[in-house]
Amino acid sequence: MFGSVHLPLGEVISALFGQEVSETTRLIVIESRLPRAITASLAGSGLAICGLLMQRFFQNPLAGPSVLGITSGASLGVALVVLLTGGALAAVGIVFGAFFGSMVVLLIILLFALRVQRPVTLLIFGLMVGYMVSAAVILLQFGSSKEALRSFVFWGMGSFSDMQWSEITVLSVVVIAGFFWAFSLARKLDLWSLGESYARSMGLNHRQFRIGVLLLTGIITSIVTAYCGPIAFIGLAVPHLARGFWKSGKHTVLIPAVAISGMIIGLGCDLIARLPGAEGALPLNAVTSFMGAPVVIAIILKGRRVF
Amino acid sequence: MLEVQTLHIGYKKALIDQIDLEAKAGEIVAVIGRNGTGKSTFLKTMGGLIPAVSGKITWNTHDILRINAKQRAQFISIVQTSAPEWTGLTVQEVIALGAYPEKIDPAHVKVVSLLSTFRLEKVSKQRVDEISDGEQQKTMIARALMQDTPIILMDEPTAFLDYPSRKEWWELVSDLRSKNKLIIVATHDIAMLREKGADRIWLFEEGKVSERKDTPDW
Repeated sequence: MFGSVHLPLGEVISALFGQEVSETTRLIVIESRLPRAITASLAGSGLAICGLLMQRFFQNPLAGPSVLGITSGASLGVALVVLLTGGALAAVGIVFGAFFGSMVVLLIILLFALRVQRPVTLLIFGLMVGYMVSAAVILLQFGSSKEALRSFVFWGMGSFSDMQWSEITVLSVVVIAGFFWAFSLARKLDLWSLGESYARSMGLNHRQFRIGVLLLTGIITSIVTAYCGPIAFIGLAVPHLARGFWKSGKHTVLIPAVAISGMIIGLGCDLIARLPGAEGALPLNAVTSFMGAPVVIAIILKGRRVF
Repeated sequence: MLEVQTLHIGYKKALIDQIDLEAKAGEIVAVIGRNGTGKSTFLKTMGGLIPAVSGKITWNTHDILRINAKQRAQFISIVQTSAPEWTGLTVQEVIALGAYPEKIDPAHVKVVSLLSTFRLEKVSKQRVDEISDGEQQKTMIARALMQDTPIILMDEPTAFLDYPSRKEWWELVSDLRSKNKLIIVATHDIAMLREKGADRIWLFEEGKVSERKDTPDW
């Protein structure tokens, strides 16, 4: 219905159920808008779950999927692909670049996590890796052509568009499996919320738990970033929204709550990005931050406890 | 019976070279000493949170320094100075979580009975990080009782409490003798210790630990 081409609701429904509609309508609905809506839901949900896990793991309300430096790793991968080849490589190259970059950072983080005791040390390490990787990206940008820079900047704005059905299949498998994996950690996350010492004294194998949480967050963030670019703010804001709305600290409640809220917010942001109705759309990351920041401020001002 | 044998504790180098102590079920042991003498390090080592430099701690025949977290959780529970800062869980949920890995409903009769013993019924559905310090400490002890371990370690649990709460706390803990628990509590509250008494007093001084019957004149 909404978008640069206006379609009546009836036609959209007919197209969705495979009834006869014009080829243009079918193309717009089935090949463009439906994949985008599914991508927005899955990416929003996945990032929100990662945000919840990171905030709980680091016991820090400012944590999000990006604190491990994984998003920066993806940026470096894409920068290498796009900027060094002068923007000649197609979307597939970007996906591989992003995935490879984030996996390298995830590996470094996991190796470091096996050596350090305190999560806060890991948090600082992740942030520092992120800064170093970003510095490398700036250097690459400095020496690249205008066209290459342009396509890199566009990737950095984030987008739920241009997803093939095969890519959506990969994304949905990762996000859905990630959801069940996170849900299986729910009681351990409850224990962890009492603090690391309490959790360990109550029988939690903290090394196994730590690797599980990092691996899970790393894989979901990598895949979402590879396909959609570094989406800002959803991962940080949605867990706060869900906590405010569902008013529970139990992770058997919070994980589904965050997954559903992430889906709604993902779709909402995509919808707003398309609203102008003119050619193209607003940059997704501008929308997520413009929407996310005031929501978090509103929750704080209403006196609901964030921390 | 708890036996601490030639235990060396510390971080990189030994803080205390040789600790030999013993205690029995149903006793309250007060661990006292000035700051930095190793009381917390001793409790953390016993609780498996930091490794011992060398030595042995046994409970009956079990070597509790050389078992994994899951096994240790059946012998030792802990209560720390401060309660969780950011959990979002309610009082009854935290107490029920004490049964981990067993799943217990927050409305289970065991939880209800602990809420009543510790006079926490009124705050049972409130978030643990939003109740008073005294109520938080009681919640964490109730959770330790749900964990149902023979040994409970407490590290300065009354540090943030006012006089009436401290008094109530010591009375509640004294009652735990009847449950045949061994309570080892590190404390600076010498006044309350004199008033309520303990079965043993372990005095930590620079580089050594000794057992004594009375409180020192500080």
